[in-house]
Amino acid sequence: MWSYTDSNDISVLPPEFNRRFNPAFNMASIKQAINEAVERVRMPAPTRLRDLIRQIRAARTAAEERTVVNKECAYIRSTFREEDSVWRCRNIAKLLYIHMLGYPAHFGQLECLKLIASPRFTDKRIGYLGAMLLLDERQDVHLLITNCLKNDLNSTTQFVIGLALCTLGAIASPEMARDLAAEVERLMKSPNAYIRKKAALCAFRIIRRVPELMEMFLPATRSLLTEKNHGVLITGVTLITEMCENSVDTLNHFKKIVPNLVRILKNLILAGYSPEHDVSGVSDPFLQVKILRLLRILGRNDVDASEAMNDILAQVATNTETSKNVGNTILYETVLSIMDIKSESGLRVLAVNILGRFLLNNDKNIRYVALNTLLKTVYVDTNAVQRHRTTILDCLKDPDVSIRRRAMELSFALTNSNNIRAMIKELLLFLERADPEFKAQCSSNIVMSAERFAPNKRWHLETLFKVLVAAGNYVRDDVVACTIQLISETQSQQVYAVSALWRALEEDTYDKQPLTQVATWCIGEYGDLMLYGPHPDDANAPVNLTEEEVIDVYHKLLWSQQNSVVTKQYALLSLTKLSTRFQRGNEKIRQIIDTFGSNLNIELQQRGIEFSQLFRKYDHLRPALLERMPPMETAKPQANGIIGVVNGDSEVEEEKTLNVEPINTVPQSDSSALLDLLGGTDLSSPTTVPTVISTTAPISTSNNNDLLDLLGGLDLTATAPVLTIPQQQSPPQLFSPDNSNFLVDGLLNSSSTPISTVPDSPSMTVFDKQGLKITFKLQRTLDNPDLLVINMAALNSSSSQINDFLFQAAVPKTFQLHMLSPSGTSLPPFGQVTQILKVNNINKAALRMRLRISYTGVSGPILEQAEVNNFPTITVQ
Amino acid sequence: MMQFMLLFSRQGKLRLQKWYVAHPDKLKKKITRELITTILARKPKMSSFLEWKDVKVVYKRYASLYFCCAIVCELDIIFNFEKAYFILDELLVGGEIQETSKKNVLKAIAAQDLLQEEETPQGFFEDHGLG
Repeated sequence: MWSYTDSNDISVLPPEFNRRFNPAFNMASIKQAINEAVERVRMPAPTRLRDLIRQIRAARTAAEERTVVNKECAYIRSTFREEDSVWRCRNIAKLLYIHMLGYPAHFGQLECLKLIASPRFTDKRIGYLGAMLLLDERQDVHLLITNCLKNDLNSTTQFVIGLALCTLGAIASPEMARDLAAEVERLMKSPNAYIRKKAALCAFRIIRRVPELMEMFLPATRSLLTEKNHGVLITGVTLITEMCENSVDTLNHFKKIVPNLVRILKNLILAGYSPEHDVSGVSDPFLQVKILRLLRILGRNDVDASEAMNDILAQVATNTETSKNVGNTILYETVLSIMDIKSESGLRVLAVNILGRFLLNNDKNIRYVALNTLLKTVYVDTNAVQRHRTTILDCLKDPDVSIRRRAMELSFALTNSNNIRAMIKELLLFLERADPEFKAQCSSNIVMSAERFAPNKRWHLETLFKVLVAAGNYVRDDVVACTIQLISETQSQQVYAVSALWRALEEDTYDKQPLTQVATWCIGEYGDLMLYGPHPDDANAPVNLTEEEVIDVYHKLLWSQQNSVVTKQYALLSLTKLSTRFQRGNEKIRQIIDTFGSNLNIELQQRGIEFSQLFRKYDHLRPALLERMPPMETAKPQANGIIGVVNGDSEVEEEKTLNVEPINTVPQSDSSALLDLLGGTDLSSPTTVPTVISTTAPISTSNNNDLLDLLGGLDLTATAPVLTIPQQQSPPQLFSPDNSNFLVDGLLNSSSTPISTVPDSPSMTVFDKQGLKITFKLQRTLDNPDLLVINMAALNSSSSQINDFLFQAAVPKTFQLHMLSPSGTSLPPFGQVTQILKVNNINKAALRMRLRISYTGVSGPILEQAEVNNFPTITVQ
Repeated sequence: MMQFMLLFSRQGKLRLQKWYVAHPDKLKKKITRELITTILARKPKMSSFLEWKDVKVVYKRYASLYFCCAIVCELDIIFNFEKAYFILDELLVGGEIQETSKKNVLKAIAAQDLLQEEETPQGFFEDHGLG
């Protein structure tokens, strides 16, 4: 037991403590001191730590520094070999300094463990420090350190326990967590606050590593909040937050602590000045922030809990001092909490006003935070954010890249059909000057916004061309496809388009490959309009253009080293088409194409040979083959549907927001098969299955209403249970499936960070019937532990063709499911179709999934259902 | 949860590092190097936030050191780097804050330093300790 429980009085050491450690009172220690004295005589004392640091600092060149370090490292190694225990502590300390300078120090790992096992506190202190710096959870020495930790967790000295807890908190691996959880749980109930707070954070770390261990900590956690000590309180709140995010059951369990949290927060605000926890006039901002965050989680979608915290949030929002940065921190967290819970409307107005004040602040950090928060709230209250549009657009010009990025994302979120012209003008200016890292995202977003809100086709085309010019090679492929599609379906603007693109092509275009591709495609299709068609209503249109001039430009394009192979393919095909559009001879065209018959690049060579055949053997077929393509049908009714629903005009959106409440009461008259599917999942209570037909019916297309309806719920109700993308016949090749994914992606995750995946689990078979086998391969992402990526692969092992293959999935409403387009809809014998599913497991509950698989086999249409609830535990963290 | 914490000088020298997630040594070095270069290139008037790869970095410069806590002099940290670690460990555990009272942190550090001195006979400390 500890001889003293009051951690405030740790300056006086207990008597038995002195007896134990002061050599003057202990025979063993006297012997040790004598032995060490003998050792010292036998072997000269090594360089002191501070002396080594001085030597290293005195080194004038990197080479000199290396010499000093190498010499010392060699010496340290030799002492390790000789099992020198007297100076081990000092040598490890020096090694840690050397490690920090970037030199290898792994050979000190085992010596650290020896230090930890020593009875001296100095040794332990340095040993544990070394363990935290040199070991990480990949090391095999973990078994050894687990034993040391177990011993020290049972020590009678609070600081030895403290060191062990701190180390466990920093490097706990899943195995260590399992082995030591019981010890940590015992220490959480210790009467000593110093130990209790450290144990609470250790429990936090253990649960993070091994979520199943949560149960055992629950009883001890509850009592942490009755504490006065702020250290214990803050660690307790941290632990509870983690537990609530871990499982819905625990979240409901902790709903009853809302009054306790409110009381603690109230005491903090009203207590007045307390020197111990004061930061520029605010009483323990750290604790306040932690409590506000926990309240946010507890109040989300819970009217009663929200009601209970309404007053205190109002109080914090009005009473917090904003002249200092600390106050702004608390206000920021308060605003987020107000926006997240079901708070009263008056309180929401207060919160948005606070954000407005933030945005006008001179401090860069506060502006950044304001932009960030507005981005989170823009879908809740668009009009409130619209008021700050000018300021937000100004932020696009900020020298700080972090602010520019946020401002860009926010600008796109604010764009609607009322302000599209002004917004896109600013954003195009931004795109021109933007860093390369922004160009891809920005250009795709402009294209998306233009597609949704374009006032007319001409403006739409102009915007697309400007994007192609401004973003150059950073334009994503989907933009090329979109632009070509638009030109093809807009016959009235083809004359304008072809002349505008011709002008662009005359410039130097090596840094604008996508533009060149669009231009060559367009000239190939509509070259006759450019040369012999009506004069476009465009002052800069080319006048008296001759066929020779056009061929010269193509010649330049095809022989330029700087154009990519893909661009040359476009150009070659375009030129072949021109041979039927031109009225004069096409001898020159034929010569150019012939030369490609011997091109080194196999793709170009193949085209060269094939096209030259069109001038010889199959000359009679050429005009018919190369006829103008029919206008491409809008290939993405589903994509348009989604956009229309999710992000309509501001007014429309407002109406919808109003409609959100009654949605749940709409009878499930039209409920679709998928909704039924979901209704059967016992995890989701049937009463809350939202049917959003009322709001989306006018927009959705007729052929798959049910799915679109589900989609419609996506942004209107946060509780939308299912998100699927309808899989229709895949559109013509020009419409890249990436495009539609991107659209949805952008809506779902505001930041489209690339997913870095860790292959985590082997594949699992979820369905295997009549020669159709469906497997899931699971991946977790490093940057978002809640996100599970499922690679679905459907394999046809029968000898007959499978057509109209449609794979649908539904998950309980605590998850968000996002399905990308499948690789196809038909499976030839032994062929396969793949599709990616993304499951966002916000509440970290156990994942279950219902599947519906429909296809047409030899025996006619088949509909199958299946349920998957054996997802391995890695999917639940 | 905080993933790591770095302290480095204006010259780009690392003075203290603390990792709360496990990475191989090579990756740690890469992250450190890239972050230092990126942050040092930022102008003083820019915000303290940096969205780098998939992490959000918050930094603050005090005198010649980039850090998030007030410490008087760079030399103090260079020569007493282990003490800086000890203090940090009393402030954070596993990437989460554990104590909000400066007084309590200092008290715990002082008591542990005393413990170290107590176990070494008078006069021996200079020679015997870390020196």
